[in-house]
Amino acid sequence: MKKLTLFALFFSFIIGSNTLSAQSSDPNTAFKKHLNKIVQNVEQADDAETKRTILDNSLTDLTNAVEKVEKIGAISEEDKTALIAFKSSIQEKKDELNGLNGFNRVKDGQLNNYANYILQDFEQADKTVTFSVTTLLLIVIILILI
Amino acid sequence: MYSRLLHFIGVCFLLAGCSSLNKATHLKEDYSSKTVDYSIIYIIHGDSNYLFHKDGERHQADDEVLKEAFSVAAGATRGEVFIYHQKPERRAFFFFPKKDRVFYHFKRGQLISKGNYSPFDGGLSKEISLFEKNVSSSSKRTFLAYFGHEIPLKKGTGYHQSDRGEPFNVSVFISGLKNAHKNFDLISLSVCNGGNPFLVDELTSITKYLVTSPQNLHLSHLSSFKFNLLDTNSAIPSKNLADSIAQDSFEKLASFVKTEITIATYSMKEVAKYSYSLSELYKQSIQKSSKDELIGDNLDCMDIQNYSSVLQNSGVTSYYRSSLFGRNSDKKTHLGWGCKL
Repeated sequence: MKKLTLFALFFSFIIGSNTLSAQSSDPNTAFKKHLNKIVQNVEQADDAETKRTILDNSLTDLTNAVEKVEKIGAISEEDKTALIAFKSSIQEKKDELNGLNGFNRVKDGQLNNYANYILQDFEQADKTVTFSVTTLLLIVIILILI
Repeated sequence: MYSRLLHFIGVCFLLAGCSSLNKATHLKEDYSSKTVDYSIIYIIHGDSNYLFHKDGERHQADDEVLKEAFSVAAGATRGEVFIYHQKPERRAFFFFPKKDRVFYHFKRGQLISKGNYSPFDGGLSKEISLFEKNVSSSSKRTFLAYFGHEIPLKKGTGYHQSDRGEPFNVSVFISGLKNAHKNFDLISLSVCNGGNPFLVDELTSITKYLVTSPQNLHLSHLSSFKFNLLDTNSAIPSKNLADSIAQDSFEKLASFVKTEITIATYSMKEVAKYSYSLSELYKQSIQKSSKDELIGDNLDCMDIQNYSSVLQNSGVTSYYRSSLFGRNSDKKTHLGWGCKL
């Protein structure tokens, strides 16, 4: 009788449950919100030096988060390859910000536009980034903890 | 007691199973017999992450397109507009689809029917089937606008977030469209990297004109407001309509996008003269890759030596602005073809 009751309760739970999309809390959403926050901080900063520091520090934090995830042994080979490409993309943006590696330094008056360029570049890169949800989740968690 | 419980469970399954039928509400029965000059189909993919930010505000790309579709539909007083919103599909008892996708049928600017449905497969066959059942016999021209993420070239699992095992790729996409009883006058394909040789060649037998993006496209999508030109002139040449859609989309994106903007229109009769050989060469490159899926943005095929012998742009009109930053910020032109390798 007890087993039957538990069985019935289990089925009642299944009847009532919905497999709703968890889009509001998925790592893609969290990552995009994080990038948007950086843009807001840059735009609200009073002077070019502060804007540039926010951008530079944010890109460094992103690189550090990626490197921490790279050291985790459970990452798939595909994700490792994708992480290398992602890190390279971040580095290129840092280089352009600071006028390194053949880039002209982003001008002071263009820093807001540059922040939006970074946001748009990552948001539109189909499905944001190219590695698995689990890996992206790890990056997001580390970014939040920094 | 056992038999009563089993009976109860059986009824629950039966009720959940009944959700396999479409649910529709007919709102204006007297409009059903009215004639129309043209039909527009909107298929809006929403079963993935479509969040983007603009001016600090959050936007859901598929919801934004839905609003735009409603606006176009309300203004289509000489036509009919079918809208299919591919929302994430929930399941009862992990098996039975709950019909979360939504359809709307507007006729002469009025909503005449709306309801819920479930897909047949990972592609568009259900949407095309619903369209074929309800399209007005008086409609002389059909236009399709698809909005979604990049259509994968190879495997395509994971395209639908709520059904990651169901593949959606170029082959599945094309096979769904081929169920339409006649060719499209124009397809507006609002996806990243849509202007690639493989996909464009497949579409040459399905549509007379195509508008799409050869490379990455901002999540705010191509604009579709120019479909309302059909109302001022239902005989507007499809080429003119394609160019208007492309130009309008380009101007919208150029007003705020800082990344590269690539939009192209394809006159398929002209493109078909060389697209097969270009596509075969492109497919060879794709198949050489051992990866299940090819990821990352396309490049301008013109910048890849492999295609120079067969690459042309006859029949292709390109709307291009380089990125404001990055390595390609000094690029001046784009041929209108995007290639990964």
